[in-house]
Amino acid sequence: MRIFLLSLVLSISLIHAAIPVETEGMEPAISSDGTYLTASPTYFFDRPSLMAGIHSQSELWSPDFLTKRLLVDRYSVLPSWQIQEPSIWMQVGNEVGDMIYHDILTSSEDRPVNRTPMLEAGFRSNSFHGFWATGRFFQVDHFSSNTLRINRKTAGTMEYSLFGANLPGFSTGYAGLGYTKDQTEISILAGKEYLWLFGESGRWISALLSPRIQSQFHYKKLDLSLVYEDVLYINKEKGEEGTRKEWSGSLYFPYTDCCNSNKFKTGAGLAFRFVNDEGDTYFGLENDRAFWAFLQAKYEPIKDFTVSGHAGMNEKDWLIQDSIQYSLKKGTQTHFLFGVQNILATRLNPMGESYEYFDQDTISLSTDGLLQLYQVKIEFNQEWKDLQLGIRSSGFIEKGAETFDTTGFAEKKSDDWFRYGDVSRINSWIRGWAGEIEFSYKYNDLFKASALVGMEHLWGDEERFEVEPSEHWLEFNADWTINKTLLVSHSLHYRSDAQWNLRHPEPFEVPGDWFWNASFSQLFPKYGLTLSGTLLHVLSDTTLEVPNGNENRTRFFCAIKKMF
Amino acid sequence: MKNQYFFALILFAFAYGFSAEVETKDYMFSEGYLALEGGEAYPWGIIEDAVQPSLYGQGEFYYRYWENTYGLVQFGYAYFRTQDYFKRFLGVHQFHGRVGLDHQFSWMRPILLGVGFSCIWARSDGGDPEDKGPGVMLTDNESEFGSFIKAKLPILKYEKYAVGLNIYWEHIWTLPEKSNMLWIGLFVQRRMW
Repeated sequence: MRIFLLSLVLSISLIHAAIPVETEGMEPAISSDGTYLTASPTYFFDRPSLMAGIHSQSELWSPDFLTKRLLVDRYSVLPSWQIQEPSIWMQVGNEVGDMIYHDILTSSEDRPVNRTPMLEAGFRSNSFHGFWATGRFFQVDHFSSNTLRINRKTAGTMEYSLFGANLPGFSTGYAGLGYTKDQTEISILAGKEYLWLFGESGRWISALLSPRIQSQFHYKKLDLSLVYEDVLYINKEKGEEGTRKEWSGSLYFPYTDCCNSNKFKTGAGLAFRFVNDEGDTYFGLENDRAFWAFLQAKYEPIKDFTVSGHAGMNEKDWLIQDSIQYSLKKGTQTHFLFGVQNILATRLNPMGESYEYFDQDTISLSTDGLLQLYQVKIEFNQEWKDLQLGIRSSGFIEKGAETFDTTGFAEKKSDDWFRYGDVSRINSWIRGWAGEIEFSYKYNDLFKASALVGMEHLWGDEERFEVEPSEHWLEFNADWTINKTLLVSHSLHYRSDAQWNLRHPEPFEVPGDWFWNASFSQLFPKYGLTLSGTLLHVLSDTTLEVPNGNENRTRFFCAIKKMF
Repeated sequence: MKNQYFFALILFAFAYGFSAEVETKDYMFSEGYLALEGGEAYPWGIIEDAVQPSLYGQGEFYYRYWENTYGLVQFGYAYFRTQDYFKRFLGVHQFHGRVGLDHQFSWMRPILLGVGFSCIWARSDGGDPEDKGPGVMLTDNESEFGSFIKAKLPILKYEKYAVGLNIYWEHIWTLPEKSNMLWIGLFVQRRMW
């Protein structure tokens, strides 16, 4: 191990290195700077380093999530219907470890669990008088082998995807048209999507969206989006079926100068959902609707001093998030930042589902009371020619943190547990402190390297935390850019133990682990062409990171992309 | 993947990174070649007990990438007969694809050394998918990635044509253990531009 670590120190590398992931939104599955636990491409516990509060990032509503996917009560990049740049691309991959010829030699009892692939192909045409067309098919079957047996009974078939028989977390195909010119962008996409949603009960719930239609309109300082989904929920094992017709969308005016002053900017928006449920839908929205009206403001009275925040409300909930930040620069090489942040909210995600229906239990996904969260953050950055040092620290206190009161469990199969109960609060103070040190080094355009070490500790009623986060993490990155056309990137990570407390009868420990990612990309800049091969999550032990989830295995994928 | 591969990749990246010089001339796609190749693939190690050596055929697009470095893209096919004791099916259809780079070190001229990634797709020639015994996964599609190192030895050159030998050691990332294969083939290459 000493030699191993020595090699790492020697190969210290660039932070946020250019390691691609299977598809946008899969970043948490290869991240370590904080606590990232993956169950499937449709469920991550993602809590970045120095984040305040015990919740994960995707649980807290933010204006940044307006056009992201809402999966039950959290936001997700995947399955992404974001318009790509004009190009044509294809990707294929596999969790490493199919048997091929070893199949002939291996008896039934020695067979490894089947490894699963990924597949993606898509295009977006060049503009013709501003008009363009796009189409995309993609599914990531990785993270699906552990849930295969249960989900097969739920779906009643292995053919629950656009391609193959692995019951992937999502399988999506869409096509559409758009218009882009000057400050106007309009698009309409229509497609079909298979999804497995992870309920608060711990069940995987099948949802077939057919059709899903998404339209977006952008003109200067106005963004409009409107989505229609016709959803079919099925559970063949129980003989249940339900449908949901949902209209959702948003009207958004992004930041713009206000009151004849370029020091004061404001923004505003309205998000909405209307649903019509019939039969067994497994989720419910109070009054079959949700809306959220919000304001944003940013004020910079003097240079480098910024006050910003957003506040929103609906008929039941309200949320205020604000921050004050002071940035001090000494020359171009020393940078000091001091910030405070406050969050007051009656619910982390006021747009999420109100209920989950499980057996005879109705799980309430919201609760009474108030969350209060206060954070102080400091950062120091120093540059010496090619070397950079960053020191960051954060402390927070939180009262009224959202959690789950588990009242009982049902065992589905060996060590797969579903829980009963309701979302609740921890009405005592939680305190947390985190710190991080990062070194980075750059040698011309040829080599970049960085090393990051961080730690965190929380004090409070830990047994009621959904997740007790990792306390230590380590990350080394290195990128070589050879002849400006061959990129060799790697990153090595360590994340210490994390623990789920409320989704399993006993605390569910996720052991600390090392893992390594590497990527090789050949660039053909003159032709807009890129070829790449990427290995993810190598050297690690294969472990379950989320109860009832799927193992985070070593996987490889290769991609070809031609930009227009 | 074992630690030695990890170290090997780090060393490769270091060696390659620090030995590289920034090229000023744009060689990319300045030459393009098409090639046909035929030869024999030899299972090596444990999988020798599963399948027999097989003839293979493949096509290749070969292009100049840097001054002394060439890129390659290959697609090919081989039919691996199973060993005689195995009665479930007679053989396995294997399609493969490879991408990689060949580099000509001045001290090794005219031999080029190469590395790259492989992808193989395999399916049995018949066999009952309902029988859960050995070989069942191959009755459906199986695919896996791997890496290879190779040596290329041009033997004859005549105007736009070249004839030579390619030797590959291919390492496929299978379970319960990795699979190795040695490929030796004769190619005919034509320069297209």
